[in-house]
Amino acid sequence: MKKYNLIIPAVLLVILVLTAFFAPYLTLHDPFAQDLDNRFMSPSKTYLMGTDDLGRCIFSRLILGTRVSLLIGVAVVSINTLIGTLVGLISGFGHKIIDSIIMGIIDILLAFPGAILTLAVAGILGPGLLNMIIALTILGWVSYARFVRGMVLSLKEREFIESARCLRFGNIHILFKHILPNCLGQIVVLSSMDMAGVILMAAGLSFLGLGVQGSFPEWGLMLNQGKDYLRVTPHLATFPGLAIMAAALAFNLLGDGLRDLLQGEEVHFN
Amino acid sequence: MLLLEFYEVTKVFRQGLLRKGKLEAVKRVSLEIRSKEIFGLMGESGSGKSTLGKIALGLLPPSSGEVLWEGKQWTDLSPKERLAVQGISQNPYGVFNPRHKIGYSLSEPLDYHRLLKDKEEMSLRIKEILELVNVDEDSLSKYPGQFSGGQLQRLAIARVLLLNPNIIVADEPTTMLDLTIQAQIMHLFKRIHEQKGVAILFISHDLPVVAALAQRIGIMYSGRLVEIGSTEEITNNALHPYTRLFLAAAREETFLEPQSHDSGADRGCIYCSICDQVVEICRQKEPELIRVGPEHDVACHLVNSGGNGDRS
Amino acid sequence: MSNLLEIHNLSVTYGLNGWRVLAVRDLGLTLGEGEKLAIIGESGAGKSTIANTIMGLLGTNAKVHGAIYFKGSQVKPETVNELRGKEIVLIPQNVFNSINPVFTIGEQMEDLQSEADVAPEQRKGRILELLRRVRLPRPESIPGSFSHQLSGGMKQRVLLAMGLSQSPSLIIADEPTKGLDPIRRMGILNLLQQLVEQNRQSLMLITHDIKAAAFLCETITLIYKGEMMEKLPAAHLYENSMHPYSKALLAAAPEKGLQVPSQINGELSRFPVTGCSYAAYCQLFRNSCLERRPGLHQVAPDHWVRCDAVA
Repeated sequence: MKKYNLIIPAVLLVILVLTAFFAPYLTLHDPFAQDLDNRFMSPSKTYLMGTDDLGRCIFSRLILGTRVSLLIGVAVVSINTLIGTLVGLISGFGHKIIDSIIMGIIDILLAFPGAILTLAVAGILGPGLLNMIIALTILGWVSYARFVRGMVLSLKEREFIESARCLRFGNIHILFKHILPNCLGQIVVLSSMDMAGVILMAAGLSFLGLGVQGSFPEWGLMLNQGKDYLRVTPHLATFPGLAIMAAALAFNLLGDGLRDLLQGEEVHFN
Repeated sequence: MLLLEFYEVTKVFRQGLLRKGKLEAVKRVSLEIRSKEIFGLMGESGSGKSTLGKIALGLLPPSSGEVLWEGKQWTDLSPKERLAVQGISQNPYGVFNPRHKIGYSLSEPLDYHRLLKDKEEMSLRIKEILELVNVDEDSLSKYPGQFSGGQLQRLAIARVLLLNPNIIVADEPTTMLDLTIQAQIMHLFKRIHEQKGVAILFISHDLPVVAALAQRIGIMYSGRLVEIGSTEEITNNALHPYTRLFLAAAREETFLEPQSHDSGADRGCIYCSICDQVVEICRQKEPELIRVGPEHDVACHLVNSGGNGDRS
Repeated sequence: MSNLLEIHNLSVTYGLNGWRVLAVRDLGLTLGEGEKLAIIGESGAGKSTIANTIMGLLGTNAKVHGAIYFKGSQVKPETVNELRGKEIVLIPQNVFNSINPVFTIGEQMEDLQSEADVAPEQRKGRILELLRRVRLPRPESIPGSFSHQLSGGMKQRVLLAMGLSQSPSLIIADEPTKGLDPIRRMGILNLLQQLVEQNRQSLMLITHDIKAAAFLCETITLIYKGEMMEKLPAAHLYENSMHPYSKALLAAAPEKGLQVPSQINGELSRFPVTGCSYAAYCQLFRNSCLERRPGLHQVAPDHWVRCDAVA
């Protein structure tokens, strides 16, 4: 019964990933081609989702935009997960002094309101794909670190860790072979939820002009470009908006489903 | 040969918010474990026996005093040499990583320490030990969650045996198991003792179990070692008032529940606030562990003074 | 009605992952006023299920067949709330999680006193009296304490004191000696004996500690895989038990030689069995043992055995 929780997001994600992968083949028109005679067209048989202010096919741009959003998401989440997990492992398992120092840094970082700091960094660095990734990862890893540290602290006390010490395994071995595998499930859940947040944040940054620039078909950017015409031709903004929502939703549902699955697994393992 | 030696070992835990509270879990315990012997360490919960076990395993450093493993300090031993001291714990359900198959858990230490030449030798060794502990070979592909407590305890013993230890510290290995499973595990301990010559530090509060297995017994109370001797001496000729109370309770003889009759003294015998034979010197000075027979030491003023103590 | 508690044909099943597991099978028991009965069995034998069924504490995935009578009236899901905590009290096995950690002991016991309609001025006095009865050292210090400040043994006694608040007719003690060192064990056994005899309360002792059962109780029942295999007076347990399972349990004790019966394990089997559930491990096994479930034969005035080979 509980497995159905995962089927919906799984299907959505498969669609998203396949779309991103085969994007060039799925577009009906060149996403960059301008058709100035056919600007602001409503959805029709030729232009499935209509055209934007420069006559470009919205559908095709949306398709290509999938690649961008997913790539940004994957890049940012991967960096966040890697840095955050490593820091969390070291902090939780290492000497109390190291833990105190790391936690001190984390507490300072968390004292800043997250979104605002991200905006500030993006603002300082200026627009651009790379700068956006930097802005999103500067604070992004922190919640992973806190979470993993928490898990490590409680796992450290478990009997099988004491057994591992008795079997005279080194700390690195215990950390990566015994502690980390018991955290992985939860980390994956975190990553899924984070993905949704990153997609939204990236779209937000682009919407504000701080992310991707120019004619590139990033969803947030498309949203920005379409916002001026909401009264007259809402489809310019609506379709990108729906796409953002669908992707974020899919990842959130995935995270939820995985968490439920994990809880069931824990019961089985005992 | 002495496998394990404790000299005036004390272990203090700091407690409380400001780390000001002091708990002397083990106080000035001196003890030795000889090669190939089964030594029963008995006491109630809070007696310090488990803490002593952890110190023996190198998991906790003593706060003061010295512990020697075959004459060496812990820091002078290489990880491989440290493998000679292994442990079995009370809760069989916790000792294996739930995410690893049993086969992996058993071979992991052999691989990590590179104890065997190749995979073939390893399979052979594992097969041999599984037979010894009476567990099916198909257990190797299962997860810990698929086994019962008794089976897990046997697997835990198997994992430990694969490392050829010369001493196993077993902390209440049967307390959580049913009577018939307990009997199986006891037989297993006997078997490995006979076949492999492994010494066992058997920590338990179950008298019949310890008496059936151990050659020597030590009794701990509130961190101190109050009496130690051969099993025969302890079971037939216990001298310390606490030991006698303990045995009487285990044998369900007429039994008066001990009640403190004054606030515990800061110095003096740790047992004096409860002892029914307390005399003045008991409150002044802590008794030393003194030999009273060939295999029998007791820490009690009444016993040691042989009747010359003050009566007040 | 002379019997305080009567259990007729009790069967309890649990739903688990689509399977139904038979935890208790066609159990019959009686307990008189002031009688002390022991239910001996290994892990998974169904002992705790019996206690939970009487107390109405089974989960929603459990189905109960059969009937339980208390003081003559049938115990039903609707009526059990009136009995629980008042007439019938359970001292649970796991003391560590059984006391609310957020309130002091005193606050919790006052709650119970007000449930019993005790006048506010009298409550503190009653609480101290109860704590004294269970022989807690320095009882005055207990009401102000929290659960985490007490040792395991003290928690057990506090639970007992709480249970006695309303002078129950039946006390069910679930593994009170589990994991206890000999001194504490004797302490709790002596205490239970004195308390119950003083007030003519009935005791149902659930345990796998055979010696404790023989020490405390007059009647002993042995349960295997949810079925009663033997019922006899405690005085006859060591010399006259007849069921092969009872004998195997007794032989496994260290003092009796630590004999290991081949293949005995107390885990609950997932499949119901035709014939005798002990067949696989029984020395007296014959083919007929698999054909039909052995009946409960009376071999002496107070002695029943569920075995066709022996009766």
